[in-house]
Amino acid sequence: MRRALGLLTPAVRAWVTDTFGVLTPPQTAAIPAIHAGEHVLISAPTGTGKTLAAFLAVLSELVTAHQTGSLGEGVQAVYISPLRALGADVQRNLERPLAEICARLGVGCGMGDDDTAPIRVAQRTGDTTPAERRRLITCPPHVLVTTPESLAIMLSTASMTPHFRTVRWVIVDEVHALAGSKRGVHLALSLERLGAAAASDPVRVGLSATVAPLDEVARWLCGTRRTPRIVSWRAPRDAVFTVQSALAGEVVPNPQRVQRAVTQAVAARVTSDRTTLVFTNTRGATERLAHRLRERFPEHDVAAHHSSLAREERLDVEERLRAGTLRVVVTSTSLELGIDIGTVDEVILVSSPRDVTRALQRIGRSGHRIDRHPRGRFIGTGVDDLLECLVVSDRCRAGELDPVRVPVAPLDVLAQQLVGMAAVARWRDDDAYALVRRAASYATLSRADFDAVLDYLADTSETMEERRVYAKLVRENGAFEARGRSVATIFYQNVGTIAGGASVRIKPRGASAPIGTVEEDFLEQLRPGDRFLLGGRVWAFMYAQGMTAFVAPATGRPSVPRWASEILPATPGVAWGVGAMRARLRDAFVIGGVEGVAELLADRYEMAAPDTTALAEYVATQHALSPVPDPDEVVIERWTDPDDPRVVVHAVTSPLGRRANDALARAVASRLGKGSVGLMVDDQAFALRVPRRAAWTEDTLARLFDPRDLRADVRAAVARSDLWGRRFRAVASIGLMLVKNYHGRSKFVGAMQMNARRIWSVLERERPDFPLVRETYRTVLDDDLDVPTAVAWLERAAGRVTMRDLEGPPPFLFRLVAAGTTDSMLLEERDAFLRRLWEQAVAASGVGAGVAVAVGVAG
Amino acid sequence: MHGWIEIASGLRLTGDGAAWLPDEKAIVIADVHVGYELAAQRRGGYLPPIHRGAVVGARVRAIALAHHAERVIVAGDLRHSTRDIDAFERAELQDFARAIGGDIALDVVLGNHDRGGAVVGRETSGTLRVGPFDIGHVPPTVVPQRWTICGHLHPRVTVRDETGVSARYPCALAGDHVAVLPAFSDWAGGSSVGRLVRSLPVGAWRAYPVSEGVITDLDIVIGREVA
Repeated sequence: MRRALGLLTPAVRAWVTDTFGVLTPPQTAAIPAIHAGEHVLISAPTGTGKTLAAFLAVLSELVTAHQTGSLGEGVQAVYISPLRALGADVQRNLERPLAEICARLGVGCGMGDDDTAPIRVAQRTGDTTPAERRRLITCPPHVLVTTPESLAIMLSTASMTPHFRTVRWVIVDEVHALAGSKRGVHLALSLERLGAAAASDPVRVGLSATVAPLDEVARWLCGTRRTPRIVSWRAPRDAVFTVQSALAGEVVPNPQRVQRAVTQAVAARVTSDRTTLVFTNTRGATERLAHRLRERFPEHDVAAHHSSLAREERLDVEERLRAGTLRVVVTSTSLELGIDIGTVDEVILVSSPRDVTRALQRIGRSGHRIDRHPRGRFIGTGVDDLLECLVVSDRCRAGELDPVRVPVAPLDVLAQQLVGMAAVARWRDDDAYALVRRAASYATLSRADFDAVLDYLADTSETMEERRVYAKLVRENGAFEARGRSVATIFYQNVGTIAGGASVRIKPRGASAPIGTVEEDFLEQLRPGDRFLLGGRVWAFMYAQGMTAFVAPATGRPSVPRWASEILPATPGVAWGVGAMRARLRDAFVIGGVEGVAELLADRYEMAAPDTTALAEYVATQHALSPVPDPDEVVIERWTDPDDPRVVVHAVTSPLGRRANDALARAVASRLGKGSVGLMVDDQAFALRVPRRAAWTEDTLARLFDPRDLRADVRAAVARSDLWGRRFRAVASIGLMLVKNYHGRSKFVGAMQMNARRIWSVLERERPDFPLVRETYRTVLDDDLDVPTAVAWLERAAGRVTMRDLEGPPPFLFRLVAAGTTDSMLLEERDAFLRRLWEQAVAASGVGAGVAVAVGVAG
Repeated sequence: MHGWIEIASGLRLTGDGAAWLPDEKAIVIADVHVGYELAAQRRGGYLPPIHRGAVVGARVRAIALAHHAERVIVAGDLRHSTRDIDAFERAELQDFARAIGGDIALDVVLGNHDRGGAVVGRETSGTLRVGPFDIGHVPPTVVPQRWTICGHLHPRVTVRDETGVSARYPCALAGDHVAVLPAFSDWAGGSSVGRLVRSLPVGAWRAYPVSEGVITDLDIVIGREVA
């Protein structure tokens, strides 16, 4: 540490020793590396001073330069964070230290309006005002604080790019939240653009919470040409994880009980902690819980915080948090809380967070005092959820993180950034190709794919140049540039990788407020009387008026698939953990009966009766009906659908996580070859609803569960469902094919967005090689679904596939079945489907009586 | 192979989305929306040139020939854009007419998108009488005296089988003396028949899904009682 401190310029060193006394371990390791001009990835838990580490090193260099008179004009350091709530974090880690250090130096400090200050800091985000943006150009800050999207916009703004020539450091915060998504790929391209705009390659500093695998993340940060030093530090003192059950002895507790358990957990904290932090997994759960807590604790300030809040509300909640007046915050995204929330002794997580990295990040918000550990309390809200909480807490303790995966060469993001590049300069194709390939995600991008994207953007398929109305670029002589000045505007207004779909409000007739929303294309296929799930209840669709659909409460099972897109999937590691846990509980049951299981739960997890008995009986009932398999066995359970004897449900217990099960379900369905199949998928199992005439036999099992060619079969299968169409809308938006904002949103654009699914079906048929068609396939197959996990599982099983006939669904599958069909697949051509339905109708009713016999041939 | 269903004497709905009037040697199509891709591009969206005028015209000609028709009647919305016509759009419409061929007569009943006239073919505002049939664009609001063939609504229907699989198809609607054709254009949006029935005359309507030359009667009846 002394060495690290010694590298800091005296004013900064003095500030550190006076304010903190010591450097934290990540700071000790990072400062020398940054000082030496190395690229660095710092991976450490929240609250260990990573952000300050980066800023201290940079501030030290800036102060030194100022004192020696060599601090020039232009941006020196760019700090990028994905958070919308940048304010308080930056205040604490950059602005305040800078102000205090400048005070020691006797110079004015450079925030806000002081343009004469020697070292200036400024922000540019979606919230920055036009006046502030103009000032950035006329009086550029030395440290620029921004978001990935705003960075891309600035890189495509001609008046801003000269200021980037002087950039020496690029700091990327919350790397763990960026690396594994298209947003991260978009940023990686921006970093290469920034590198090209700078006179010399800037030093890259990545700040990450605990994440794995570190090499993949380091590669994402630094690209193919640079090797970073990896500073990885794990807190030596363990965090404390508690799992609390809200079951109160019931396998399926009623919602009131769950609320009561949560309320009690909050009550235990609300008087001692400055702020009690409660995490849920969905926006709906956040709102309901906040409402309930407000009623229960009227004397305290309680608020909900999530990404769909209006900006004013969001800022208001953050202000109250900062001021310490907000006692309870309920939220569903830990990301949004990049704010100092003061003393939180224990974080409450309602329901399993599904992912170990997310759990650690959430829990890491607590225990920032020197003598405290981070503490997390999981509340299991149902028997399956409780098992998962146990698994997640075990994995957190053992540090078993789920790996981050960087999407490979997404063509929609490439198209958008190429437009951004063209907006400010003319590019030689070769140079642009070389730049793009420096980003790790595009290392394997073929020249053919690159050219195909340029051809799409330049609409070269249209031979008449004047007729190329859409074209954003002009290609000629091995170079490309923007076609007209509106290209830049289109880019600014459509930057980003978060594509929203149109939402339809769902209102019970007579109610004053909507109970939720569904996607527009879900509504499109509804007929009056169709039943679907929303917010845990079944509703029957009545009619729609504009963007509102009216429903009535209904009983019975849902009759239409309800896409579960907003539900977080469990990671493969967590899902497998649950499968392994079930097998352990089975073993305890086989040896010691219900008491044996109860003892195991009490000893290992400090669980008490009556919950131990409830869980034990759950396992016992299942095992008696259908023996619990090992996680690596493929066991099929099937029964006749109680609602429709024409249908046989085939369910497979597969502890792989929803993404892998989705892939597997579709591949198996596709291998059935003909007819149609209803799919049910969750994290622990999947099921196919198959007409009785197509029920599986023992001889077909080996073929259905053959690991070879699985990816090809998944691809063929996805082509037969709605999954592509929905994903296409997002890809088309990102790739600027269906732009969200075009010179003020026109109704036509809105209509085209809504018709994305149909545009997809035509496009996919007529132009399967179109880059955005291929990107849609890639996104679904590689990012949305998890084919490798599915293949690995089948290979492990190596033919150990067994099938059992049951009377009905067994307990372990209740949750799967209750959720209803999540998607359906047509395994035949659309006209063949119509023909089959007609033949069935004829067969069912006999000729006559309302069925027209009518298919004649015109000669 | 083109399938068809006869819904009234001399009026057959075909699997290509047309109405075939064998006694008049005519086919009727609706909502062609030539120039849709161009309009999309003007609004910043990209649609590859799949349904240009020439391509659509050739398809229409093939349907006409298959039914031995000498006359093609467009029941409104031959054009898509409601702006004043420009050179590009004019060229596409002329391509369309040329592809239909000089040996087949082209009639265009004007629809709400056909502002400024038809540009090609023989134009009619309002309703065109063809034998015992009236061809218009927007469906009538009361039951008409003569059989009326029209378009405008772009009807679509979802059909489902016992496993819960569903698919959505363009469809023709037939009621009392009214036939509403599906949109001929692949690009043009559509509306669910459930929502549409409120803008049609009271009574029972049958929906006939259409796909790749196949039209089927699946006994899909929708109706609206008097409120």
